[in-house]
Amino acid sequence: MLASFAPVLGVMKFESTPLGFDNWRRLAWLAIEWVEDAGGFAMVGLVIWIIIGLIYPVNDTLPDGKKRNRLVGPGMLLSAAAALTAYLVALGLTYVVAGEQPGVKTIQVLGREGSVMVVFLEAALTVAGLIALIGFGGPFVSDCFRLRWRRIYAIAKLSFKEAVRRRIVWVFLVILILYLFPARWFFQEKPEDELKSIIGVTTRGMNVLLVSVGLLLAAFSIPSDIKNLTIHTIVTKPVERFEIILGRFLGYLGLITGALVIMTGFGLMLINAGNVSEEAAGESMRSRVARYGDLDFKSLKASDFKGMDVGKENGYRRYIVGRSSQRAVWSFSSIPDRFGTENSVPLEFAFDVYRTTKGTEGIGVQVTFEVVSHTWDPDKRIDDPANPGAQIRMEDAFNRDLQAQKLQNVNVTPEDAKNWAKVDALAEQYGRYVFNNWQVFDYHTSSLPIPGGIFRNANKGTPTRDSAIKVDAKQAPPRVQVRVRCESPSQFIGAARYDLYFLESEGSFSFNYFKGAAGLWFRLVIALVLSIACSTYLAGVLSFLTALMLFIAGFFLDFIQELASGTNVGGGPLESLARLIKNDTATAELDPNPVVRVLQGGDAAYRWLLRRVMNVIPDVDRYGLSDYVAQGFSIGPDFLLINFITLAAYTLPWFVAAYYLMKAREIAA
Amino acid sequence: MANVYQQAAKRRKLAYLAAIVVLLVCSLGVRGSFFRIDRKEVEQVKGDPLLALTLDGRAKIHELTELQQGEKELGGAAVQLLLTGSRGLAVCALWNTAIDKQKRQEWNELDIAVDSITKLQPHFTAPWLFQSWNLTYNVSVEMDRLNDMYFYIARGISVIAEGEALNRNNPDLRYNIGFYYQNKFGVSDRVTTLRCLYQLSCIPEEERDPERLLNPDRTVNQEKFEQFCRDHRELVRRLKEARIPLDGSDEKAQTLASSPSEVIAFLRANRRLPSRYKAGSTDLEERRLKQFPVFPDLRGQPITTRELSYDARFGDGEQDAFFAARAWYSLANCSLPPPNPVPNNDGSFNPDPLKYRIPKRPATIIFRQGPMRAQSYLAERLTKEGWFDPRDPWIVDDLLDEDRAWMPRTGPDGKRVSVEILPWEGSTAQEAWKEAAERWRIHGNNNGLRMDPTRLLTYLSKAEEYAHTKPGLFVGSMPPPMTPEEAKDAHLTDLYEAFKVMWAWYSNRTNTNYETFELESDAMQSDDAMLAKKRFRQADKAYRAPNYAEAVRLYDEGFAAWQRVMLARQDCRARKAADPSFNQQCRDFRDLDSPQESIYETNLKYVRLAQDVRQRQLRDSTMWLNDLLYHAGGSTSGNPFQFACDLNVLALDVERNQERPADPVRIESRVPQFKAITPLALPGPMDGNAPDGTPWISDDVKRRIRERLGLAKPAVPPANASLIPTGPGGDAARPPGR
Repeated sequence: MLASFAPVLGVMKFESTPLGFDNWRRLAWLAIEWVEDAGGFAMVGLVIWIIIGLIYPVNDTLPDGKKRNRLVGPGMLLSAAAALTAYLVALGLTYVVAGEQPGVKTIQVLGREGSVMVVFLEAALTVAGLIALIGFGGPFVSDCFRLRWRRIYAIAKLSFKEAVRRRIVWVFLVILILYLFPARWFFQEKPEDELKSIIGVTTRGMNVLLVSVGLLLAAFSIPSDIKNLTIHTIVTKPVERFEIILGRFLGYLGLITGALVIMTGFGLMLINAGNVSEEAAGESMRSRVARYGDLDFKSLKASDFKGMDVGKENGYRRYIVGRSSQRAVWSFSSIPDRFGTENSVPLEFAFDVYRTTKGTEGIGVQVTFEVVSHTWDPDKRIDDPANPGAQIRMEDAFNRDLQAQKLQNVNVTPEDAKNWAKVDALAEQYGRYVFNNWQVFDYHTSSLPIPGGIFRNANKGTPTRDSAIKVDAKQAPPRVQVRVRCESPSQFIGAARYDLYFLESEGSFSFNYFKGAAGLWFRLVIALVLSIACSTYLAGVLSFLTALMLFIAGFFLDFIQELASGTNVGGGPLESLARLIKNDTATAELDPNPVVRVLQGGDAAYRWLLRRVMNVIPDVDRYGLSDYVAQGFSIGPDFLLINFITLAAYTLPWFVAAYYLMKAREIAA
Repeated sequence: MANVYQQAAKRRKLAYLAAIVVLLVCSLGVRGSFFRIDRKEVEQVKGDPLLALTLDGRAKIHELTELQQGEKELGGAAVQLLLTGSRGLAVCALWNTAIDKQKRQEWNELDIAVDSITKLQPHFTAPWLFQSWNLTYNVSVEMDRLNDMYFYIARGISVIAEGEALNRNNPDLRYNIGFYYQNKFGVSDRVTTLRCLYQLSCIPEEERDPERLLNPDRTVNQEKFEQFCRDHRELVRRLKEARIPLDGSDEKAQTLASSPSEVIAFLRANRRLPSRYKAGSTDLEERRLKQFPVFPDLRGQPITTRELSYDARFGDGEQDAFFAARAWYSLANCSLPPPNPVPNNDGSFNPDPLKYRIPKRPATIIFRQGPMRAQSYLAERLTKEGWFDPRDPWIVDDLLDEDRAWMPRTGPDGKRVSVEILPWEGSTAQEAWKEAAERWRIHGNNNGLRMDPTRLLTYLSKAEEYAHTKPGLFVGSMPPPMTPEEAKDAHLTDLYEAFKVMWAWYSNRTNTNYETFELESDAMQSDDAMLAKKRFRQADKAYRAPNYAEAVRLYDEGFAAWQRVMLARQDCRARKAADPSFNQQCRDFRDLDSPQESIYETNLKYVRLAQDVRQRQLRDSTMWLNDLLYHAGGSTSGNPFQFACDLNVLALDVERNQERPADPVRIESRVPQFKAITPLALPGPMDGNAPDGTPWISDDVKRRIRERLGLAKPAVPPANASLIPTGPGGDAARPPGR
């Protein structure tokens, strides 16, 4: 008979660990990299600005009759000189690093390993970047103090009204059509995927329409003002040039934010009012708060076991084989106190099943879960309560008690309250809970109740590195470990870090839906900033196309990164062209003749250029938060905040560039 | 008054304007826009020479207008327009997305990408074929749960059906739909459950609601359950009786449901499935393409056979994927040129490319036999599931203990009786085989795969005559092209044509395996074939019951019936016996590999069983035989007391000791010998020869089956002497050291 099917839930799939405040080293490195990249651009800007300022000076006459170049001050010159010196030092260090032999002594700085020279090189680049930023951003910062909210608000209001007058808002109504026609009318999908498809399709639709509108509005605003000479009505008034940029930006942002909020609300209303299937509601109309652990793979046969590769093209998961000593182990270094007060805590998981034999029809792969706390030590000798004065191994005592309670090899669920209480008490006493032979099906998430006793036990004392449950030196000593073992012979299960989690709590789907819209808002901010910054120098159409190209390139950042680092299949554009002409396959080695070498040299130059351009391309994929909503996972406030910080870090240089370009434009006029 | 330049400019502009208007009017005229051809019938356009000359008119006649290509998909058309010139770019991006999503195993996203790709280029058939195959085969097999697998098979079929609707008259799309149905629900390795799910899709959700079959106290409502079994007899019987191997072992096979409550659990676990009916309603989906299983719209098609239509409600006997496959194959054949009853190898010849299409694959002659093949599969399925003939009911609780009975009933005499359910009207193996035989016969006649013996003989003699004119040529080989001189000779041309016909005759019959299908369907429609199959099935059940003696009896009856079937269909042998000069290649039913293999496997099973059942007698026979040989050899020595060492005498002695253990044991040391005595090997009914002296089963088939079952070691292929390198003198190089 077919086994009863597991309830359908969900898991998130992250190719790389999402940013979080808990990993401060990674954040610090991101900040350093930002200073290096932005500093590099600042240095280029600084040099160009100084040259233009010296060739076309705008002089102020001082009270003593002397002239002072308003564009290039001594501070700017000084910082440029200092930054240049630091960059020269960095150049020298680059030469040294390039000549380093393998096996040179390394040190660890903020969790990253490198030779002393590499550390110095990073430091030199950071210092140089920082100085260049100060030099280039100084005037911008000092001018920011002259900005007045009243004036910015007036320009923003004007921009808003202009856009409304142009009947832009009608475009937004088109998006509503997406909601009015349920996705199931167009796509035949599995019932549990229905809401995912609705969210996916509507988010994509909103992305296209809102971003296009934002790009068009912002790209044509300042060029139109200049072309129609209406800008003179503003610039002849005591208005800071940067206030025009900010005003335009905030005005359009306000309009599009309003539209986004209304559409999100309307969309949510239609989802709630619509006849979403029961399965889809169970899968996606939720807002799970997940507690993730760190994943390790263990095997008695290999101390450095990292899980097996079964040859799947997508190497996201690693695999363990059935009926072996291999384990997938999740370590949780912190556990909410609330878990201890619960009767049971859901442990949710979804594993990939890889079969080497057909197995039995309708029967999943069997998996055993062992949940242990840091106090569990099978070999530790404890006082035997049944035999005062004597000692017994902890594991023997646990097994004896299980047997006494008639619970050995019995899987108990909370519905069986009497036995569950016994299981809970044992888990609290020993810090161990085992569930045998759970059936796992491919692409379906299951939920296993874990007794609260485990967590009460885990919250006792402080875990140390001497505990019986061992983890890597890099990881904090865990309070709880979940060990997963595959029981079906010749079958494999594949696991990734985010495939298993404790369900901490559940939030509101509606609120989460709005939080998901914040991702789109972040993208809109990027689109507006790019458009406005480009429009300060380029004509409307060019601004629109440049901003659009940069924005679209953001969706292919992974590919561009591969291309820039030379790891993509088929080589750079010239090499690919040669392959096309010669009808060679992308993976074939090219004959290293002089022509090929020249082409590869050209590609190397292209890659160098691409690496510089890459820093300008926004990582728009980062802000795709709709996946969280579609899968039914809560978007945490810290995650939103960190995304906002990265957004600010990306947009700030563009604002500075826009500030200078607007200033330059005035100079040109 | 304008000056001269202004007047010239004005005149020039007027001339331009006039030219523009004239050109526009002319182009509209040539196009036929003034005649509203889109509102006229094809015949009307053909009848009017003026209309037939216009572009629109010619497009209409040749069925090239957008509306004549197939159904319209407005959503896709709107998106295509919106994308203007960037459709190719969007399709490339979507194709990459689809590959990426598949790699990441994000199936719902892949599904959406596939849908978008096909919507953007609806008249390009390759994406329909590729992506539907991808979903039906590559994606579905990734699924662990069978209802997930079923969903993606259904999705793949729905995708290609949508493509077929948008691309009218495309034989490849139609054939592939039929093939998917036949392959996935007919011959795949998880076919039992998939067939059940297919059948559920043909039943309104309300009718298969598991709650409907339960009492308020959650026990099974016997009355309603029995009615459900009667309404869906094939489904329930399959759930109850079809055995699915466990861990790949047939010995440990089990059924999908061993009690009514498990049937209900199956219905519950598979409640949400793609269906022909509207959700929660007993009304059929109005849009054909929203139904699953999706059937073709056969209205107006030149199909003479009875095929199921998408707007009909199917009875239990029609809820089979082979019906869908047959309908789609039949429709696919409508796109092809009419068949040629003279054997030929002109599969790619198209007499009217505007009207007909030639399929890309498989070869046209194989392509054409799709409906017949599906019918044979249907007949095989009914045979396998035990629906033999209209008089043979399904005895629901046959050979079951009372406490395991699904529908316990007591007869008037107080004894247990079993509920009996007759096959669905028209849905029995015998009827299906009859229809298959008829279809194969008509197909053979129409496509030059079957010929009147006299006509065939005429062709053969001419072909032989032609073969004699050219050294190295033999009948059935590919004819060389005729030289211009030869072509002028009418007699030689006639012989050459006959030679070509014989070449096509042999190659087409070999490529299509036509002879096998025809002989098989002809034999299987007989009463004896059905009786034999019925007895073998009953014997298998008796064996599992276990009731070995009964099983042996049933097998015996089955083999007797099967031998009658074999002897009744020996046309080839009869012809050869009647006419020693008869030299045509032909076979009888008993020469076919597939029935021979199947019956020999049964024969081996029978032998094992019979040897177990008759072990005592067979061991005795061994002893008698041994004694007989012993005496035959001993008589020459002249020892009158050697009978004391007879195995039978010793055995009797041992038995006597066992009966009276207190008696002294005389020859205990000989006891183990008796236990080790091998029972005399029993020949199976199919091991010997038929009355004509030829073996029932060929030695080659016997060897193959024994090797497959592990009863014999695979024969070692002879060493290939040519692989041994030879030295300059021609001697084989010897291994070093020898």
